[in-house]
Amino acid sequence: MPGPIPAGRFAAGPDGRSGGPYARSSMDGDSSGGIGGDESAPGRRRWVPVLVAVVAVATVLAPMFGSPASDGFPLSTYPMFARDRGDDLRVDTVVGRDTEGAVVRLSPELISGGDEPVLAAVTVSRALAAGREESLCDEVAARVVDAGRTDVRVVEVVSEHHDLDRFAPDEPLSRRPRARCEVPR
Amino acid sequence: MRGPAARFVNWLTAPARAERLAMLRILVAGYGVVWLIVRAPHLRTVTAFTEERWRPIGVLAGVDAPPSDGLVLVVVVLAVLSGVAVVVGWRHRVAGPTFAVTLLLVTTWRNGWGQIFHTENLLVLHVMVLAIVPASAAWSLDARRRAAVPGPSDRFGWPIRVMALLTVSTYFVAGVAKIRYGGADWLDGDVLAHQIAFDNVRKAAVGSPASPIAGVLLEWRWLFTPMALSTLVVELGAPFALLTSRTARLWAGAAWLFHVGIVVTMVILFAYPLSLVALTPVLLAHGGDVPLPRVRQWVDRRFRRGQSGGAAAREAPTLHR
Repeated sequence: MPGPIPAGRFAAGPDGRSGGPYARSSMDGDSSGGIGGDESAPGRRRWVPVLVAVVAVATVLAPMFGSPASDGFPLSTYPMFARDRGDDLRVDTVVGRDTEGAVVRLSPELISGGDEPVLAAVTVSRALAAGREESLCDEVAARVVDAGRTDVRVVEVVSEHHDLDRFAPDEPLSRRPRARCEVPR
Repeated sequence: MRGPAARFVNWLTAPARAERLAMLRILVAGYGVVWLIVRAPHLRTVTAFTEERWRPIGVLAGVDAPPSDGLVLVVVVLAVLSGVAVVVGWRHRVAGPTFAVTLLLVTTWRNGWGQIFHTENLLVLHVMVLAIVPASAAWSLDARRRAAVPGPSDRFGWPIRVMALLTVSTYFVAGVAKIRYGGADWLDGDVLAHQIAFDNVRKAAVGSPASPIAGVLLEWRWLFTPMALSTLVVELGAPFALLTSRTARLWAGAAWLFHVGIVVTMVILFAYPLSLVALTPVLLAHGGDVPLPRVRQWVDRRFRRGQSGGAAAREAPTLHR
């Protein structure tokens, strides 16, 4: 528990606020930083926290008045869960094929070089949009080799069609090949 | 000034102990440092991304080409070092802004590859506030150089409440977006059910672990109406957390459970609120003393030579009457 208050050093002002003798002497020459730290003017300095609070809140709320889909960083409407995705999903991905031709799911690291699943899916979609599916296929095949995945013989960039109401992640309604490449051995 | 505006100003500027703001400094900056270290392998993989994947946003929006690996490394190392300095409270006037700027740059760069993750937004905002306030007046190396820790003051109180305002504002914005974007469909749970199915199917498609219970949950579609309503109550009801200490605790508990629900149903980890660090400003905004007394005593012994103001800060007035 804190000890007693050294006289004349810590006591707050009569209204319970700072501005007593402790404040100025104890913080002189310190390096704790901070705005609104002018202890000698407790009345005047109240506008500083109010201004900071109003500006901070207005800044964070500002995206709310734009497009609900607007997104950014660090200010955002956090729209990722807001939009109705519907029950019909096309997801672009890269899969492997083993010697029997069966589909082998590849990891985000193999697909995009990073460990984020969302980024992996976005990477494939952007590559398809840019007509880069062949080069993406080759990149993934090279990573498959580097990872020592001998079970994967062929890499395919595909667009899968899913019925979300049916919810069968490994059984898409269709799987359309967009690019295909052999894994170099 | 009278009425709600006066109550707001009184609440905002009510004094608080320096230790309370110091605790936030240690928790928030500590979280930031741990995030930088734990995510270092991920950040390293991002440096290998090719230039055509660069989609700059935020403060890097005007940067046409991704920064070089060497520059990224320098900024990350600077962020870690300045973050550690903020945690221990060393030269806060320099370390605080340095950490805020470098963390903003690192996280903006990390989000600039076609996907915004939304998991570090609030952390960055909190660090920005801590950077410009006297957060190292206690429990810090800066404080050890002084004879004593200052007593309760409004300048230790309002930063905590600004951080609390930021926390509830981010949830409120997300709630408004759901109403504006999803409309009535959000209320009946369809949008939420589709989102959970979408997220898990997409994860499975790229070979990432999906929720083990999503399939079962989606067969119980009636559950999604109360789940959606609960989500909106947490997000749109966030400002009520500022009314009293009781509503703050209730809301923080609900928000934490909300994020647990996101982990369970979509395997999406919002680690900042799940760690409770993001919610702590809301819990501290209404006064009371620093919890975890043993931890406090230990930190007191480590960082303080003098005695603190024995009288705890008077309880902050509530916004509610």
